[in-house]
Parts: sequence; structure tokens; C-alpha cells
Amino acid sequence: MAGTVIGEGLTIEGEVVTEEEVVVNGTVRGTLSSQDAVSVGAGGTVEADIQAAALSVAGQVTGNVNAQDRIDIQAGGRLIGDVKAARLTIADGASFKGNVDMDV
Amino acid sequence: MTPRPHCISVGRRKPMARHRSDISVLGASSRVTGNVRGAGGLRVEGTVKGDVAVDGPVEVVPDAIITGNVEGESLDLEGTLEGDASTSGPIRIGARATATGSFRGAQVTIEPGARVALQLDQDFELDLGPTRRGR
Repeated sequence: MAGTVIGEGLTIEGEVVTEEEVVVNGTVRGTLSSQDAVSVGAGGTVEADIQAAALSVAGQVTGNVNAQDRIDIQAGGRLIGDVKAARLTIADGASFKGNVDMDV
Repeated sequence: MTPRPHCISVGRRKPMARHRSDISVLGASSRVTGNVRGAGGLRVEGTVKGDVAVDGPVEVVPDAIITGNVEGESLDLEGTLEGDASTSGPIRIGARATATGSFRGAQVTIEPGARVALQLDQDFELDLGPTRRGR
């Protein structure tokens, strides 16, 4: 189980900083920084810049993302913002709008 | 013989809330600067600088710190709360807890060892025992 779980119906407005894995099924507005992976569930909404080891998006993310390893936008997921990561996958049925920097 | 310490408990008794599946967790290394609100319960293992308002039970584990006001269905405090607490159900201030502020709940229990500087804002009934009842 992830160290931090933001459940459905919960909203955090502000800054979240952690070393642990984060699962967002609720809403985060502000900034989100994790040294581990961040997963945004199908019902999750993040309106924040994200710094993480990896990001998986099944819900909605609006903000710039910097991932050390990879970003996966899953079917039904939506990401609006500029992304920087070593690897990026956008599944069939996912939405993405923004610039990509893969540091080539 | 040293008298055995007892917890202080005031207010009308209500059972502690049962575990719910929609509980959010702010992990031990998590630091939140801002407000947390919404539905479901909340378990705080890290640090929150801001207000917490949820409609489920709030649990603050040892070493966790909340600097802000807390509203919830109930409060189980073993960490530190610097702020006011208001619940519709019971409040338990555990042996390892530190609490400063104004607390209001259906029942407030302060266990021996807790470090508190509280204002209790609530109605409560004193149980004087069967021999004094009906006088």
C-alpha cells in the first residue's frame, strides 16, 4: 500500500512533499513532490506541478510534470502541461496536450 | 500505595467510529502545507500545517503533527495537535499525545501521560453513582 493515499472526496489545497509513493484518488491543488512514484487514479484530479520518480495518470492532471524515470498516461487519462521524463507512454484513449522534453 | 492514574473522560458516551474503507493516509514522510478537506476519514502520520476538515474519523499517530484546526466525525490523537478540534463524535487524547487548543466533542477522553493545555468547550454529565442518584 502506498505511503500516502488521497482518497476519493478528499481535497488538498497547498503543497504536498513526501518521500513515499502517492496515490491520488481525490484532488490536489498546488504542488506535489515525491521521491517515489505518483499515481493519479481514474477519479483523481491534480491541478498542480508534479515532481516525482515516476507518474501514472488514469485521471486528470493539469500542470507541468518532471519525472526522473517515466510518465505513463493510461487510457482515459488526461494530462495538460509540459512534461520532462526519460520515457513517456501515451495509451490509446489517453489525452495529452503540452510540450515533451525527453532530454535527448 | 500510589493511586492508580485514571483517564479523564467527560461528555456523553458514543462509540468510536468504525474503520471505513474511504480513509485517506498522509504518510510518515509527508509534509502538507495547506488545507485538507472533504469526505471520508483521514489518518495523519506526517505533518500538516493547515486546517483539516473531513466528515469521517481523524487519526493522528505518534510523531505526527498537525498545526491547525481539526474538524471531523471523531478524533483519535496520539501525536501532536496545535490548534482547535471540533467533532460530532468522541475525542480521545492518548498517552503519547500533545494537545493545545480548544476541544469540543461528544466525549473527550484524556489518558494518563498526555500533555495537554486545553480548553474544553462542551456540556457534560457527572455520573455520581447509584447511591447519590435520586436525592
